[in-house]
Amino acid sequence: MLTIRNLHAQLEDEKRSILEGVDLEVSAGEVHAIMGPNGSGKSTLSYVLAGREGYEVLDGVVLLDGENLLEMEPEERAAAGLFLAFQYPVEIAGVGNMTFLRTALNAQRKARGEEPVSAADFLRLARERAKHLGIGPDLLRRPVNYGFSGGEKKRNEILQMAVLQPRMCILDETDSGLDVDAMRQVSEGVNNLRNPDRAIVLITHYQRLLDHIKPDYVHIMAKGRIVETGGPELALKVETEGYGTMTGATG
Amino acid sequence: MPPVSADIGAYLSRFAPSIEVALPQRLLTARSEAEARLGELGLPRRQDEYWKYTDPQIFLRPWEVNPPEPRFVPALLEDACLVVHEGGNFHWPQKEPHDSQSVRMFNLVDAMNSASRETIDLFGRLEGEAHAVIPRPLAAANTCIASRGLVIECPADGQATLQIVHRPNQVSGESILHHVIDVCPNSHLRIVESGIDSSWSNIVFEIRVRKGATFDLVRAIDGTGGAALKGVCSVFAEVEEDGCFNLFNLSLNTPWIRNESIVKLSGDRSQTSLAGAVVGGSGTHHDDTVLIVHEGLACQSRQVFKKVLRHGAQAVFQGKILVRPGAQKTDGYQLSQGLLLDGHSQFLAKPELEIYADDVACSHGSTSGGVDAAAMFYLRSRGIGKAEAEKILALAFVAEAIEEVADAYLVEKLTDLAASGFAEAV
Repeated sequence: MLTIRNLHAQLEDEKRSILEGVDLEVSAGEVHAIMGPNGSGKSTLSYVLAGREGYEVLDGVVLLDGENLLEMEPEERAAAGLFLAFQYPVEIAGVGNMTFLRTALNAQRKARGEEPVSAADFLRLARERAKHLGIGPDLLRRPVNYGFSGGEKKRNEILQMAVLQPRMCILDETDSGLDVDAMRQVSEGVNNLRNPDRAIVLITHYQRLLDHIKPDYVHIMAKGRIVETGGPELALKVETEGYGTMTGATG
Repeated sequence: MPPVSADIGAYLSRFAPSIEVALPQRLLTARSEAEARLGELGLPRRQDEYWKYTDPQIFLRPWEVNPPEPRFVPALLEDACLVVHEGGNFHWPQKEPHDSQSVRMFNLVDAMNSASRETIDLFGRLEGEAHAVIPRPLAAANTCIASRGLVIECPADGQATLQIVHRPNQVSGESILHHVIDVCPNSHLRIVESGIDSSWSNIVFEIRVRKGATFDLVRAIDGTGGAALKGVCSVFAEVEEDGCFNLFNLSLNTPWIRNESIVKLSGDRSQTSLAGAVVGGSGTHHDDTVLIVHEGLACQSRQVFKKVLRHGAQAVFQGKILVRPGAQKTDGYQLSQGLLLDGHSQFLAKPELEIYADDVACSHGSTSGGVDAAAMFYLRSRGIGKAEAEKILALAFVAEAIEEVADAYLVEKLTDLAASGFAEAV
């Protein structure tokens, strides 16, 4: 489903290279975890995949279902089925959470040549999905992420994922800032979205998220590349030994 | 009386032919007093302190080519008493079901003999008193020649909501309207005004909000679609003890608008909120020039002005809070922000505080900048196209000003209007 080959990218302003040849193959139905120390390029990889401005791709190929992702605008990537759950979801004052989500859903449907969802049908869908994530009507009415707690913001990301139903989900440090209860709710939300047609990439620092969401593959990223790939046992190894031996660093 | 200078004479002479009826003596007296004031003030010049960013000649000269009629803005409120303005005359149902006992209305000339003396005495008085702080010569010019407008009395303990609709009228000259509104103790008057009658206008409101009364004035003008429109609107309000005056202006793609507001919080614990939302497009210049004078104890004032500008639009905000000696416990707040959607648009802001009391809280903030790139990417990453995302963020930006209007239904209607103005603008 998602193919990344030899991806090189740098920060446009600083001309500082961050991704230095990422290779990754993700198939439908799989869950991959990407772990790595600070500054290894994990978040940059997620931004480059989603099409954020400020990054320059120097080399490499990214295909989503065979389509060249790097040539698409961010909204086209979303319509093609890509979803990035942000590490720091953006607060947007003055835009209602529900209005935003319905606009997004219908924009994606329009891009795919599908009929728009009516306000009533959308409300039913959103409320039902929100209920599973412990998101009350109050949060749905408020402006997008505005004044939300850290946990509420992350749950709101998963709600968007549950409503938009993307095929390729990238979750950037969705576990950061979550207490145990929120971690459980968010993980349940993600697990409910696992199915044979959908793939998930979890970017995380810590093994604890992987206790809740069992990955099929674990990758270790360091200095802008994937340096080791294995099964869930690799995450346990990181927990006990740290990244040092895998990344070549000490400590 | 000082002699009227040649330029003032030329300006006023253009209006002489439009005065056909015999005018009441009171009106003529007020006019000649205003003419004396205008003689002293002179017409505004570019070098004047508050005309640096807007060329006053725009408002003094007629359009060179006869412009098309301004865009009609339908009533925003459907269940209010409907007042229709057409060709200088205001009409309303004589036996309206809406609080007919609560409000008395007159056309300006009729009011001189029929409205209460207390109300009529406001004509020219609030305008005349205002020049001592910041001269408003265009308002004085209005009083010199005004024969049209509404006089409204909302009696004590009354409640009324009026919806004024202006029917566009192709007139060759400037439309001069002068309204006098007297809101008596403990009453609540709401007026919503949709549209403007003429492509060239000079409008004055003189407003007194008496003890414990509240007056909400909401105005919406739409120049979308390339309407030629230039106008100055001067609001003079005096708010007595525990009174409250709220003014909101929505301007969509209006080529040349200058809104001058002077609010005097004369009574203790009186309050005012002045707010404006602007969507500016190609060839538009929108100017809000505000003065709030705090005189009473523990008075509160708010100013919230938000302007979205693109395609080379220009906007001005000049806002001053003046706290007189003795106006202790004043609470003043001022926010003016420009959202620039391209590199050619311009937001010029001049916030001012002048404080002569020592137990006062006053804050002001002014910003101008582009769209938040992080918010833009967030919306686009969810599948929303760039143009739609920009529209969503622009409307969210002006929402803070629109939400100064207390009525949720009106907020929705104004937001819809702003959305259509944003979508349709070239």
